[in-house]
Amino acid sequence: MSKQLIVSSSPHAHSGTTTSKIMWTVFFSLVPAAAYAIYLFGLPAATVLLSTIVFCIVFEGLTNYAMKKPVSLKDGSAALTGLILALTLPPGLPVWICGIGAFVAIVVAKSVFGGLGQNPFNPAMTGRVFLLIAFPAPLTRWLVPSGTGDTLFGKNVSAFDAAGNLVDAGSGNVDAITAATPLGLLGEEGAKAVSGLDTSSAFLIGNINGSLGETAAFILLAGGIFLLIRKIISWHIPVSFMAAVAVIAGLTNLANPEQYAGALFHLLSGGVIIGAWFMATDYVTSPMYNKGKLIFGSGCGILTMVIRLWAGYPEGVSFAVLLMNACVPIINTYTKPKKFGLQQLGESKEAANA
Amino acid sequence: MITALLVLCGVGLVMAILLAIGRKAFAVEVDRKLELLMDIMPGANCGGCGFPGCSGYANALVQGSASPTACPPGGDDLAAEIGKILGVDVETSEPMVALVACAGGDDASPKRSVYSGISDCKAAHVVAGGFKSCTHGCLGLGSCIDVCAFDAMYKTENGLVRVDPDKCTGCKKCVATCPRGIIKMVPKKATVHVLCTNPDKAKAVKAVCSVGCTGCKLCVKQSKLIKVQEALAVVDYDSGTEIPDTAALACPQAAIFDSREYALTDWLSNKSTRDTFEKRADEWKTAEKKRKAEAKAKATAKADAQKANKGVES
Amino acid sequence: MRVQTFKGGIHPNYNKSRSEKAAIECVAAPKEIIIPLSQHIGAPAKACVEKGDMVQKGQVIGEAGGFVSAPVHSSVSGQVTAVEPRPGALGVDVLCVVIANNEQNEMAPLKGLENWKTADKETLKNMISEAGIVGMGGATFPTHVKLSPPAAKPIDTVILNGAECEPYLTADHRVMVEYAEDVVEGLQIIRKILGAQNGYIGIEVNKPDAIAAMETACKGTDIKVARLEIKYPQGGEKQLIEALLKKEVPSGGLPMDVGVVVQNVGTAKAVYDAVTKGIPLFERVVTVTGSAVPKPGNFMISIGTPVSVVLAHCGVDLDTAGKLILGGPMMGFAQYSAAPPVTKGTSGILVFDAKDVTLVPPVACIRCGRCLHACPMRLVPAEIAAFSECRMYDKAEEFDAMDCMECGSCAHECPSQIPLVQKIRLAKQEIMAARRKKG
Repeated sequence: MSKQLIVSSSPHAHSGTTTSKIMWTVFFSLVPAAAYAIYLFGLPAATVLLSTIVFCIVFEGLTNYAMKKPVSLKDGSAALTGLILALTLPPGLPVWICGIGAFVAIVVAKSVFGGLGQNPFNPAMTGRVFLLIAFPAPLTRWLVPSGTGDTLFGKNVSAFDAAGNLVDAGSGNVDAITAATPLGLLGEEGAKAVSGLDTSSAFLIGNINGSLGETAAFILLAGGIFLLIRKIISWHIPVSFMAAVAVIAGLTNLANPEQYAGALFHLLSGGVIIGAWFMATDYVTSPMYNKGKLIFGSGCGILTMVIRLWAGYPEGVSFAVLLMNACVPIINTYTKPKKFGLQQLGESKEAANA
Repeated sequence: MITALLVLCGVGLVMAILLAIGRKAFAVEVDRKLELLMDIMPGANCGGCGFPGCSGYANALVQGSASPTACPPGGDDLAAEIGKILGVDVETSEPMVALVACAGGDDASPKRSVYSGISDCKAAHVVAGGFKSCTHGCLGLGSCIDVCAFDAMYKTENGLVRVDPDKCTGCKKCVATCPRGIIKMVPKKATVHVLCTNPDKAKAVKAVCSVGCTGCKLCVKQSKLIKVQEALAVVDYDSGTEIPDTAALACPQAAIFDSREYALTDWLSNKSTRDTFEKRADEWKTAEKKRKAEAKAKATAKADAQKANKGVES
Repeated sequence: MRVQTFKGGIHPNYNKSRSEKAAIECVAAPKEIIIPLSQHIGAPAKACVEKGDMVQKGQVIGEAGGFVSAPVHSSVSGQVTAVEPRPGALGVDVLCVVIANNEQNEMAPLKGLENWKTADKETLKNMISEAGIVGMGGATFPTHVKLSPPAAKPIDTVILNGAECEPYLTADHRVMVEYAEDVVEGLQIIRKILGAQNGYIGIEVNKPDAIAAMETACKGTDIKVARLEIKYPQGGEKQLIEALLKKEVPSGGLPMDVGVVVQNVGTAKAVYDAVTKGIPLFERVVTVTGSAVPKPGNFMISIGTPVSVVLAHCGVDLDTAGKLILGGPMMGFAQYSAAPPVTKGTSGILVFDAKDVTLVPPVACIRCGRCLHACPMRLVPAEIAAFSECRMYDKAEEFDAMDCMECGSCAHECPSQIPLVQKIRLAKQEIMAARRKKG
């Protein structure tokens, strides 16, 4: 025979959906949100996005090299981790802090566990939480968005100085252009502090201060729905996550509107949207069965609200997702359906009736 | 400060007493023999004895359901020690090692298809009968290497697997792993082996491998210890291992390997080895031909002489 | 009418359009025919002819080697030239009867029943057994064994499987369209043998012409033609029963445990031919298609015709092809050459260009859960495969590796392109070996 045939085990057909296609699809579903963040916050946002993604890719490559594994950059998981991590960080964060976050996300949270697919905790979330605990000051200084795009090269260019203080590049005036996030205000002063905010419009168009990906709810939602349509994610986690947040916020608001803000405020503020649609749905660290996904999603929602309402931090999405990540193995164990042939569908009922 | 220190020490003391009482009260009786046996076990948990790991074997020994010679890695030394502990006489046995009985590397028995799938011989063997022309040939994916607990197996450059007889303990794990049954247990001291397990007839063997045994029986003429079953030469190791090097030289297919002359590692994969072998085999064959011709000439001469004598007599 | 289905499964590209409209075409038997003695699950048939014997078309050349076995018949008339091992569909040589075709088509005396309705069950069963009929969907389980359930397990339902859920294959489709009445009659014979009150024919809705043909043929009978959702593996026995009867065959059990026997539509036609005409199973309909097949179609092919002959008929140049598969793309067997013959279980011959079967090395599992959502048996393929990879076969057994039917849904969906089925199959092999060892 002049040419050898290919032999392999069945099946000989494949759906064509590959891991790298999935990763890049998620990546591109977040690109609009990233672009909008750059529009809102200008250069400080671009710096954080770019540096975090580049650091993640570099660390992935280095660990591949160090662990003598085939280079796994093409699958896009490192770039995606970088993008998600960047979207959880405040604009203007110093590049070196971004680098530490990327290191924790890629090396500590993922590679040491065996790389893609083996990490028990969401890498981006781990990176963010590490930074939040290690560098609380720079992580909670929020730029006020200009909303005009002229921050990019204009007068409002600002950055952290070497000590981690946010300075206005023009005046050198520390703290001149920062403010607490609405959630921060809520935590400190109660619902009346945020009652002046026009929730629906400010949050939806994202013209508020917060981390890069916390601001523009509608763009994030569009990206999430895109993933849902492409069947990359299922509805279970995002819907149960948001439902849990809405229910708890609604009930507490009913009980004491002075102290607690309403459901819409909680849904649209902070990281609920990005958390529910992009972080909690991470395949590796979420349950496999639909029932488990509902438990996981509502668990995330409940924990988020518990942290927001009664704990020390104004925002709890990343902690909630990480805590629920830890529960995934046990959720999987208890939501595993009986294999085919152990369930008697119609028959057992008939037998019971007879 | 002092109080705290005293309290802590006191708590520690109470705990220690409780632990000591607990150790006495809940002590588990361990057979002294079992402990001694566990100390001398090789600890590789290879399963070569047929029991689940070394502790399983030790337990079976204490219960008397296992033979002291069943541990291949331990060999005779271990058997003797076990015998001492258990107080029984132990007969020593011939140490055996594994041998991959195939010499058909990529060059000799080329691939017949492009295999895609998991790198496991058992899995590859059932995909279209394996990717190698010879269905008895070593697939070289190294499942046996994976299961070898003693690092005694390695791949050669031409896609075969070889056993290092010095490291091999004879646990037979590789034998059970090979889907083609080409790994054989042979006496460690044996030097001549048939490196082929294909029982097919000459034509079929030659079609798939250039170094396969064709069952021509030329080797049988050199040693009674080699027998041909179906169309395959087999060394009868039970009857002895003393086979002259001429058995290998006589094989037209170079399917017989002699470890006194060559290293198994580069047998037929290394060009110089191959050339040396072929040269020696040619020399031997020429010499043999010459010897035969001479013998024949002598015989004819003798016969002629006899005839002549007879003629004279008559 | 309602479209019925099962839980799980996948939606592969069906690619049936190239051959589904092609009427069944007869391919002349070649000069040399190679008939394997084992074309079924169970004991191989024993050759009852020798080199030099003259045989007629339809004559028995191999007798059943036991109860779970089936006889083998000659598909041509001519002279036996050899009884020897030849390449088989699994890549290893199998014992075959090689016959030189004299192209005279001399038929062995065949006798069918004029009115099968008056015959008793045993006669009918014997006729099926003697005709060498086996499951023609690809599983090749001897049909008469399936028709002999133990007395403790009465059968009330016979389902004819016309789902043909394997992509590319259209052989059953054409049989249903072209031999609708034969198929229905075959089902009635099977029902009579089993004494089953209910008869179903399950067909996926992507074959409207087959549904129409079967409905016409079923007029005046109590057979229900059921529409099935287009989903793989809709034609799996257990999935078909789940879809139609909402019953689950117990784990490790057979359809007869829930009072059901499932037969392929092709088998029903063979039963009809055997009982009414006395024709044994010596030819079958085979779909030949794929990206490297210039002239795809459905062909009536004599059992024992080498695949290479069929490919030549369809204008396939194997030198430029990348992959040759016997059976469907989901469960078929890749071949290293076109030497093996068409057997009773060959439902399709697929040939693909090299570019369509490019091999991608697998990457890490990302625990996306696609495999377990696809698994119709509700297993976790990724976990079983992971245990298999670590040689923890006892753990694989604990995770129900033995319930896997190797339908391939998981590996089809796996974005990391992990050969899940192959790993699970390896675990199953090892579990079976361990069970045999235990005895």
